[in-house]
Amino acid sequence: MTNEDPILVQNVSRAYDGPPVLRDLSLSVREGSIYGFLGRNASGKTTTLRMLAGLIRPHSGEVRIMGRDPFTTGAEERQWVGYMSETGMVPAYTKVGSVLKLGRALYPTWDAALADSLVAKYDLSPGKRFSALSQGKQRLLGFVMAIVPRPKVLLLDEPAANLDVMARREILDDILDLIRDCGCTVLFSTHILSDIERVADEIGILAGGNLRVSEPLDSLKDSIRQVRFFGFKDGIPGEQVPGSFRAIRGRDELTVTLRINPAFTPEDMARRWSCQVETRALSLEDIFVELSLN
Amino acid sequence: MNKIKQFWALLKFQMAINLLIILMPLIFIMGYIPYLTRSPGHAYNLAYLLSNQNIFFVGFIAIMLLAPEVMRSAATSCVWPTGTEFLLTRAVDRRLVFRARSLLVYLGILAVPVAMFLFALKSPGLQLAEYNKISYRQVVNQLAGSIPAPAEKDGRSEKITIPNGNTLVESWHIWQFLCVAVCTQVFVLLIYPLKYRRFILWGTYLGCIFVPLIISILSISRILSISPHDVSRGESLSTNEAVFFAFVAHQWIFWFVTILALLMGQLWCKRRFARLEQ
Amino acid sequence: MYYNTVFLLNSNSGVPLYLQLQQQFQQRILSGQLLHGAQLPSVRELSAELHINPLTVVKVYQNLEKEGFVVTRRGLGTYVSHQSPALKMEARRRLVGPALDQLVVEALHLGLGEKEIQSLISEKFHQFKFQTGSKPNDE
Repeated sequence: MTNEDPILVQNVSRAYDGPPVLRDLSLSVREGSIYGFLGRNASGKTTTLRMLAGLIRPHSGEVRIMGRDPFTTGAEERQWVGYMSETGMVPAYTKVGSVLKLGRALYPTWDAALADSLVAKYDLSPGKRFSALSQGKQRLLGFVMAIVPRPKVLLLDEPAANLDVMARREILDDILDLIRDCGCTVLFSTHILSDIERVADEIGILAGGNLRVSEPLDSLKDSIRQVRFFGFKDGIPGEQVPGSFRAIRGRDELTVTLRINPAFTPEDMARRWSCQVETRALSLEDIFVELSLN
Repeated sequence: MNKIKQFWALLKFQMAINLLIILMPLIFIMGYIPYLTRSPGHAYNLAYLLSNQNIFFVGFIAIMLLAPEVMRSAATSCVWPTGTEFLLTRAVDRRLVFRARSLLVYLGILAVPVAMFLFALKSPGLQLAEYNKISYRQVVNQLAGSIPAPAEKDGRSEKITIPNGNTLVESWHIWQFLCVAVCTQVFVLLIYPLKYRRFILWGTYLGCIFVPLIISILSISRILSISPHDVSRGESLSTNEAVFFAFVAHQWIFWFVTILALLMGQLWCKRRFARLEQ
Repeated sequence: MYYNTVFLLNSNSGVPLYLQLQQQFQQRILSGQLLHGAQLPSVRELSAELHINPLTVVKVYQNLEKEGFVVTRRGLGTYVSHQSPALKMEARRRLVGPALDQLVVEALHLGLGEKEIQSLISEKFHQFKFQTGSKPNDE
């Protein structure tokens, strides 16, 4: 975590009425990185993103986008931040063309050629009213408005929600193109884990108001395993397997989801217990489920 | 970043997303139809002329153009967004957003009253039929150039001709609308961060409609209970009339204070708006 | 197109994407499908083709270079390098490693002995050779 990280969240807490939604949350995203933000519904993902977008403030701690507080920045700094919200954008009878016109007028970096090509690709006719678009197309318009000004920081709240498979692939490609062309930093929250696996290089899993996991995706997948111990001679031992975060005890077998410790592998454990062991790698979805069940 | 260009873009965008609200002042016109279509000899009661049902729309328009979220719950805003969150996450200065919205509020609210004022300049003469003894006396004393018309045979109605009556009444309406707009803006931004803002807003709004209504119903029943021979016993003035006479007597002070309140209100509102959490 | 092969990546697998791609490159190089001196697609092209993060491709190319499969020439691109026979043998052993682990573990669980497994393997070789009519590539 350096001061130059474009996206920085430090010891942030925030509550609405009642228990805190975020508790002492800290995360940072390196420049040019794509950070995938996972968590169950109401886990605080949207709250974090809205803080980064400058809509709300943390109750403690601080939030920084490109070194500045997003709540109080002026127009000049905001032009480098693209935000796509989870909910609707504009009133029902606004025309798509009005929205695009506003973007063109507000952003000096508005890429008109890209706007035209995206509008054509996603089939967003400027004459249509916002309410006449399907939910998926409404979100695509929000995405277009976030990405066309060629921002340096892109904050996307559930960008793939309500989109069919092809549209999801297309916006992921567009995000990747933006990264390739401008070295943009992206933070996006999603439920659709296969999207994260293709595109994110770092992921964070938010649970209980805090990050259970925040590391490069590859190292996460390399180090988390599901291990089955069986063939015990004298019954299942009671001790905890080090590094485990979920254990299921069967009648004569023990299945554990754990983070591999090179100094003491499951095979070492099996030798100690004089039992057999079987290891399975987990997909990101499996990892997420295992973490959430705990 | 060209601020002027941004301001115009915001203004045009706000007009595009608030088209219905901006057309709402046309409803103001309907309130004037009986007044505009009166026959030359027709005379109105002052209290009737001074009261203006369109006041209710003034408050409503001010809220809808400035901070429509206050009228809705969070759930409704998700399904039917207001556009505020979208605008505040674009590359704009928030104070500019406020200025554009505020300008639209005042343009929308004042368009019709100002037009009526200009209309009144063309035919400023007003003829009143004054039932209220005290009001009658006040009119004759306070409103310069007002002349009692010759008494009618049945002696019941007393007509007064006021040379610049129309312009006075229309400038009063402009002043009224301005006051309501400023108060509404400040009020709505004051309650914006509160949890129960919706209820406070609707409670206050409905209270402002029904409380004076009830009062005026009571005073009408009092007026109707006067026998024609009790004209010597004066009635009290309605609040509107009392303020109107004060307004006429001290116009410059009234206008000065109001404009000052408007400017300071705008300054405060601008700063407040820029620091509101969504 | 500099190559006429397709890479199949499974994002739901427990194996990270970069490792899948890396192994598939190694297989094609070792099997001779990508010959010595062949140019690999640029990071940009390949990541766009596969719809993955360019950093993943960068990582794969770096790892391949570290292991001696490719060499990157600044400004010119990445090319398949000449690998020594020892390196190739080692790489091949490593590639079949995971499959072997699985086979042996399974055999132990099911109580199949070493001799039984060896005869099963011979049968399989026979079967495949008969079907494809080809010999395994050895240098």
